[in-house]
Amino acid sequence: MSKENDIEIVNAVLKGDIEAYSDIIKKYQEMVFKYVYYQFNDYDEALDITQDIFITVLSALSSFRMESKFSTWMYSIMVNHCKNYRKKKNRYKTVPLQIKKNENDYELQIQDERENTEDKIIKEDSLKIVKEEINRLPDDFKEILTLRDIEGMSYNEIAEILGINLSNVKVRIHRGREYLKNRLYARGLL
Amino acid sequence: MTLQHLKFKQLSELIDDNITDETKEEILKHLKGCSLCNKEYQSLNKCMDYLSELKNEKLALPCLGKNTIIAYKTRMKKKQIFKTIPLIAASILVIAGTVISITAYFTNKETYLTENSNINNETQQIISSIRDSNGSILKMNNSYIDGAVKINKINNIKKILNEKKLKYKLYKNPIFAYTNNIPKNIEDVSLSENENINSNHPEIKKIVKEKDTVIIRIFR
Repeated sequence: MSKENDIEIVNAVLKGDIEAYSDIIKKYQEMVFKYVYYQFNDYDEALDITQDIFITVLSALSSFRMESKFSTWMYSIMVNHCKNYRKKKNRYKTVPLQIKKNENDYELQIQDERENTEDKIIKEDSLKIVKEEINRLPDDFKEILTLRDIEGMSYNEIAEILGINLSNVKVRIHRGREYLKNRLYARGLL
Repeated sequence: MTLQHLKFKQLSELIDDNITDETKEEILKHLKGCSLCNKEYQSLNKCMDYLSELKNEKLALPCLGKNTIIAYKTRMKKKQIFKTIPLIAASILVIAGTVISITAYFTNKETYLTENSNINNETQQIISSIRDSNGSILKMNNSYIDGAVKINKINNIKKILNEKKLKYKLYKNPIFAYTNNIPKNIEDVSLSENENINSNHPEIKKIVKEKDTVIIRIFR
């Protein structure tokens, strides 16, 4: 779907055809969800936040001036929404409920013989560690590495979304990568 | 370039292919000859491989379109309800304000009436004091009240007027001039014909005929 198509849908929604907005959601939900997921590392939480982001975008649609790409405008809302959510979350931090397991308890693990190759397990474990380390990154690095290396956005697009200049984007990306590389090295992945 | 170790920034830029061909060539040349930088580069490359694994990872996601639109509509309804709250509050304030101002107006009016009633009370007191002394009112204006009082009630009315600190004058009845029968306790202020009391007034004429009557002017 091209930029023009996005604008067409936006115009239709602004004229009152709210149902047309589901096309926008369908197109961008994966990208938005992925970004949110790597910010909070929780599937259900990410799903709720993604829905909230789309509602915020729909509510703010009349303020979209069509000067930039719709996707860029939407991603900037997404980034800000996550920042605000993180602030709120940090304000009311919850302590996870820990349930002690009895020695006799055991976890039921059904192993799929077809896919259970050694390489796959190692890869899954490694990715789990990578996700953990991404989640532990300082917010600025987490934000920019998700946009650049997971979402695959260009430097210019990131600069526009985050509202910072190009050289800052580059510096932040390089520092973020260095930080993550050192963390993965410390975990024995590199 | 080849003597110094590469900076992480240069390796990161090489990964992004965000450098000129010339710089790229120099970096690659250095990497071939420097095992330390090469190791660092390999580590970064592996790190980037993990990130691209995540990039290509397919996350199972339900279609959010329908539910999001329903949630949006519900929120909008709630928002509209919340929007009406200030309107209702404003209406209540306006009504309350009106009620208060009306009440205040009537309270002021009451004060006005009370003030006026004080003035009226004074007049009423004068009239009452004359009537209590079996007298009658002859004339009334903004400055004074004239009344006719029996001589034997003079002390009584004087007492009342003194208590109320009201100024007064007693005029002898013109008839006394003929009778030479002026009571001792009456101040002779020599009421003349051209003074305020008009002796041609039918009421005055009537009083004048009564020998035991004096005229009293009580000032407000």
